[in-house]
This record gives sequence, structure tokens and C-alpha cells, in this order.
Amino acid sequence: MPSHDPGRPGNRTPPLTDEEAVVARARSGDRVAFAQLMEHYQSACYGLAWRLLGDADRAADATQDAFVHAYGAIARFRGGTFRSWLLRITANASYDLLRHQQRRPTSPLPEPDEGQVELPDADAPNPVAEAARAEMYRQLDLALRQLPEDQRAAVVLCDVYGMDYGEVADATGSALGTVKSRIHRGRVRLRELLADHRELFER
Amino acid sequence: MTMQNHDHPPEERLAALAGGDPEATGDRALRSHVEGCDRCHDLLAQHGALRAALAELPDLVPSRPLQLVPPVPARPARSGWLTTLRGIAAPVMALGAGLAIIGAVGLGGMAAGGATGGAAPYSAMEDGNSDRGTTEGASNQPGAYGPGSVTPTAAASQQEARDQSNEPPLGDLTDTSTPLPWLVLVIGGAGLVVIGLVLRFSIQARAG
Repeated sequence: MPSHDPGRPGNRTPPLTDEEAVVARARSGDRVAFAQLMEHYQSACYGLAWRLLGDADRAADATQDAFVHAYGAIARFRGGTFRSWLLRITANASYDLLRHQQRRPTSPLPEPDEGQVELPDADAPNPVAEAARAEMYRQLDLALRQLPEDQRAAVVLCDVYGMDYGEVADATGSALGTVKSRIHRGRVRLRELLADHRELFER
Repeated sequence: MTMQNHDHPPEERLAALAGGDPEATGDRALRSHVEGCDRCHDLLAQHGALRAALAELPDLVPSRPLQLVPPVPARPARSGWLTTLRGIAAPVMALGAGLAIIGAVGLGGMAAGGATGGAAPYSAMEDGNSDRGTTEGASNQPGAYGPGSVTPTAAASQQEARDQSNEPPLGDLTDTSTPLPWLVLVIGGAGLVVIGLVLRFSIQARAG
């Protein structure tokens, strides 16, 4: 299992302080500005790809594909949240890879490598709470991997990355009603899988 | 929240309610059931906690360094230009070599003609000219057919002999006897070969 972003444990990548200006420069063809944006959001994109694909190498491939697509499409970016726009591209790239994989002989998701789980930071202000939080993330990612593929994608896109039903439907190529059903059934299955770890989620 | 209602809604409805689904939140019967049912209330709380935990799952460090910006697209254009030159170099060299060979063969033919039968036509030309001069000189003196002069009948027979021996007409001898066209072919062909070689090696140096 990949390690969490060490710079922001337990958090998502915040927007750049001067993000609008950097995006404007990238839209006008400034490669340095584009690289700055990709470097800033690469952990977010890779995290999404890994949770959709369940494999480190393919997640890196999907993220790389997303950067290429983003480079070709950034001139058409029409405002809004850049992070959401880039995550939608990453979701599409991951789903393209998933469809390509489904057309070929499939291999089961590899077992998570326990040795790669990041240990809690002993110098954190509250190491016990940090350890409990890290364990909660680990159990969540393990449970997500056990969901059926369609339910996992729907729950990850909606509940982990905050996409609405329509965005999930676009990314997965599914009907709106199908997406709702997958999300709700996925949540139920996830709760059942984590029933033995309830204490991790009660604060 | 003390009454237990055993006619519970499907858990998917509770999951939808926890996620703020408009259809579920607008379902007054569902909400009033959850308020009066400990089991469903607890399940709704579990779903709420689960969603909150999912929403804060952290970003992950990529497993390998990623290329942040695609390569500059100018490179394929340059390789296309090089490909065109690479395609031109070989035909240029082949054309040059062909022209040089033709020129060399032509020069060789001229040299061989000069060494064997080439001198005969030229001497024949001189003979013919002297004969013609004699004939013309005789013709200027009507009726004076002295010793050493050639009669019109004899001149005609000499011309026939020249025709039968395939000697070129007197006026064409000047064109085929000069080696200049063959030399131009040889030098021009060699020049094209050199140009082709320069193109080829310059492409290799750039590609390498």
C-alpha cells in the first residue's frame, strides 16, 4: 500500500496560494507553470488513480496519461476548481486503463504490501491519535479494495473525491440511476466490512 | 427514539440519507422513522462517520517519479525534416553515380575510337577536303582534266565509299569528337555523389 503524502498527513493538497495566476500562465502555454501545477497535485491524482486501479504501476501510468491529457486540454479550461478539473481527467484516464484491462486477461488485484504502510510519526503532537488515524486510513483503503469494482469506483469518486452523481456518471460511462445504486450499495458493503473496526471511526 | 420499529427501510436508503441524497433527505417518512428507531439511527450515524472518514483519506505519494510536462512537440517536426533529407540523399547519390558512369563510358569510347579507327575518318576528311579542293579547282577550269585531277565521276565514287564505311557526315564530326559533354557528365555526377554523402553524414551527426 503506498505511503501517505508525508508533507500533509491526513489532509488533501490545498490549492496553490496564487493558483489562478499560475493556471492563467499555464493556459497561455507556459510549461513551467504547468509543471508547477502538476507537481503540486500529483499526489492527489495518484491517490485517486491508485484507489480506482488498486495497483501502484498502473496508477502511475494513469496519472502520467492524465498529465498528458491535461496539457492538451488546459487551454480549454474555463475556470472553476482546478483540482476538481484535474481529478476528473485523472478519473477518466484511470477508467480508460480499467476498460483496457478488462478487454485483456485479468489478474486479481495484488495483495496490499503491509511493509509499505507508513508508520505513525513518533514526533507528532499526539502520536496515539496519529497512529489511530493512520490505522483508520489503512482499514478504509483495505475495505475499498474488497468492494466490487463498479461499486469501488462510484464510492471513491463520490465519497472520497467529492464528485456529484453526474460527474461520476460521466467518468464511469454509466447511467445516473446506476451510479446512485452503486454508491448506496457500496456504502452498505463498506460499513459491513468495517463493522469490526467501529471504534476507529467514533470520535 | 425509544420505540423500535421492525419495519425498517433498506439500509441503502439510510446510506443515501447519510450522503445527503436529495431524494432521501426529502423523504419525510424515512426521516421520521430514523428519528424513532434506535437501530436505524445507529446505522445512520455509522454511515455518517464512514463518509466523514472517506472524505479525509489523504493523498498518496506516487510510486515513481512522473514526467510533469509532455516532451516539446517540436521534436517530431525535426525528425520529419531529417526523414525527408534521409530519403533524398540516397537517390541523389544514385543519380550522380549513374551520370558519372555514363560520362566515363563516353570518354572511354572516345579514347578507344581515337586509338584505332578514330584517326581514319579525320585523315579521310582531310583527303576529302583536298579532293574537293582539287575538284573545285578543276571545275573552275572547264575542260581542263589534267594529270592528278579528279573527275566528277571519281568524286562520286569516293563519296559512296565513305557512306559505305559508315563514316559520319563531315558536319557532325565536330560535335562527337569533343569530350566536353562527357566530362560535364562525369564531373556533375561526381558532384551529386559528394552532395549525397554530405547529406547522409550530416543527418547521422544530427540524429546521433
